[in-house]
Amino acid sequence: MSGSTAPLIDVQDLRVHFRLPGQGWFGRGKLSVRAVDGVSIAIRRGQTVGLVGESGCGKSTTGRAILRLAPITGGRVSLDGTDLAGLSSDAMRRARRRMQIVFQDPFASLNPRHTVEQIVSEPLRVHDLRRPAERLGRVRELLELVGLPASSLGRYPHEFSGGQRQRIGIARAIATEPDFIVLDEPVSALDVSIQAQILRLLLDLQMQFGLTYLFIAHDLAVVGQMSDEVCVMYLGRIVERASREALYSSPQHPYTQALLSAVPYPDPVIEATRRRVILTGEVPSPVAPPPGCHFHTRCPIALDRCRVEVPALREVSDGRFAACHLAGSVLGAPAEAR
Amino acid sequence: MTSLRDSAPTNSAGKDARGPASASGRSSFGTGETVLDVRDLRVVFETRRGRARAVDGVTFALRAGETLGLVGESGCGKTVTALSLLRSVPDPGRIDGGSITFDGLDLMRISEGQMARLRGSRLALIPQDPLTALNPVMTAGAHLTEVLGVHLGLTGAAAITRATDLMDRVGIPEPRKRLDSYPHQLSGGMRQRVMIALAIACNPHVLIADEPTTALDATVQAQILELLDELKRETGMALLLITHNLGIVAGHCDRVAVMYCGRVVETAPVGEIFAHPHHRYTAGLLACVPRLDRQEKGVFFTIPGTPPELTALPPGCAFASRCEAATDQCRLDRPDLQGTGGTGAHFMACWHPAGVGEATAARAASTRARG
Repeated sequence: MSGSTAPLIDVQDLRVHFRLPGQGWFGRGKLSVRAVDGVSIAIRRGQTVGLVGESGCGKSTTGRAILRLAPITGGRVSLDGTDLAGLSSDAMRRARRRMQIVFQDPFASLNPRHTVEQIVSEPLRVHDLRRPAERLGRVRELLELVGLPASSLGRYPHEFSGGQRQRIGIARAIATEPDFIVLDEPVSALDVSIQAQILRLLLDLQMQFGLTYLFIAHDLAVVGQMSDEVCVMYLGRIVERASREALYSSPQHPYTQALLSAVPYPDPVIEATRRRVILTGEVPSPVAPPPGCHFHTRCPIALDRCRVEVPALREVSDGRFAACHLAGSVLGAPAEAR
Repeated sequence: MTSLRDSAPTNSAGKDARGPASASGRSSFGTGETVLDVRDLRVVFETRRGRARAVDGVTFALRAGETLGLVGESGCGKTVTALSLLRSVPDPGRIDGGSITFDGLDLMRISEGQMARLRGSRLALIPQDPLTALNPVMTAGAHLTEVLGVHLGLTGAAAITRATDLMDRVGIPEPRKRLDSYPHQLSGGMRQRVMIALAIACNPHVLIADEPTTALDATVQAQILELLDELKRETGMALLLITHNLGIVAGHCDRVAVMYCGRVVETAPVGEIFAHPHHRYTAGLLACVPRLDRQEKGVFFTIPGTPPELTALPPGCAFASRCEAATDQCRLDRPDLQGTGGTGAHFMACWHPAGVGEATAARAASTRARG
């Protein structure tokens, strides 16, 4: 086992490129989408890293690629110091038991023809955990952990509300006693009052079992409640990475600044006085991202250099990383101007 | 209930009336003239499980130039309320009572033909999902010229010119060229802009926006809300903004009505409801919202439980089963909206309202999952 400071999950230069169908002859000149384009993330045991960005930025694909649910084009993913690529199929199976996922849509991710008992016990059967006679007891235990009544066992997903279905999904994810769980927008489909219940459950489980989370979401306010460190993605690349406190108090990348500024505050006094950075345009197509810094087409402070040269993710100040030529300079100082 | 309607408009200066910290220099359009008056509206759905009272006695008024936020969680009846204003409640639902007065017209009594002329002209709707609302085999231009032809009699070059102006007004680049685009060729934000162009094509007096930005990314959401604010200031139309997002309400509404299980449980000027929520549900909802300025890992306020089924509502307050202050009175006797005695524009339906300052106490009491 590795030391306490070594990351449990170590993602280095991860790339996922999807070929688009029907382009060119014999595969020549085929267009590809660089959904994930050189992403590195390290998560220490018991910690939560938040991954935020707008639709199509590659955050979900990153989560899936880490679990090998999406084909990896390049880079490496290590679990507890072991490169997953080098594992035999048997070893990979054992590694999979330690890594689980909770999906966004509790309506689509549960088999409507299976009872709750079948859904939650499936990972136990697949990974051959517990003796068959003990599995029902284990399922009851899991339901209690996620706050569902034992009477749920024989019922089907459609009989439950969105929040309860998400609890079923969480029970399934923790059934194998994993070390690491990818939480892919776990509360985006839920109402505010239910969101808070599910987030609290996830934090309780993390404390109780020392779980390590990758928390993927588009809502920066939610991510802040859950994460120790936050990564911001834009068109397949991480543009900023910092501790929660640093990212929210003084964002370095102009995109992070705009994203934070776009989040409305539930406070009319603040809303009336604060000045917003409102970006023009929308996220460009990932098939043909702009050259240089992907963000330059919408950036309020872009220079000529930004249109040509790809900025590397570099340490701007202690523990804060930003992929911006101007971050840390006078121009790149947190701008609250429009 | 009558007191709610008769209350003096206290927020006629629009955005400037929000509080001492309001930004100055914003134009004010609230003239105080009531354009839409909804009283005791009831909508029922006959389902296999029984009769669901989706809207159960909703009363509110909308004045020219103001934005009223209709807030609540899924199933609270906010969208059904919007659809009933257009008399477009889908089967098996039907309007079961109440009155809707728009521009002096009793919408419950006018003919279907008269209603059809109102829809999309003086009373317009922006739906939540622009992709399903636009016809996939019609270009943006065809959508616009159809509306302009039906309601304003514009055809040919005149219609094209007006359509181009509208596309330009809602911030679509290269508007003339974009008239030839089909919905699938437009991004989500652009589609919503086309929906807005359609909605404002005939200068509506009331624009109903049903979760207009829920399907959009954060940066695009900010653009669309800014556009709606601008259009409202320019035209003086009234905006009924339906949303579940309290942040949007705080930034873009003059008044708020909070709905729970088909009823308005609290209504007030926006500054007041955020500063002093009286109904326990409003206070809980406000405390639940994650905020950027309170970033501390693991600090949560939660409302326990889930809303009751609309087919099996309790005789008392629908929120009682989730409310920590609930008593037998709450479980048996349903509270009606009544004034809070403050500015005269604040109404709530709660037997045991949260006192002034208690909302902050509720936040302070939010437990820590992690020390």
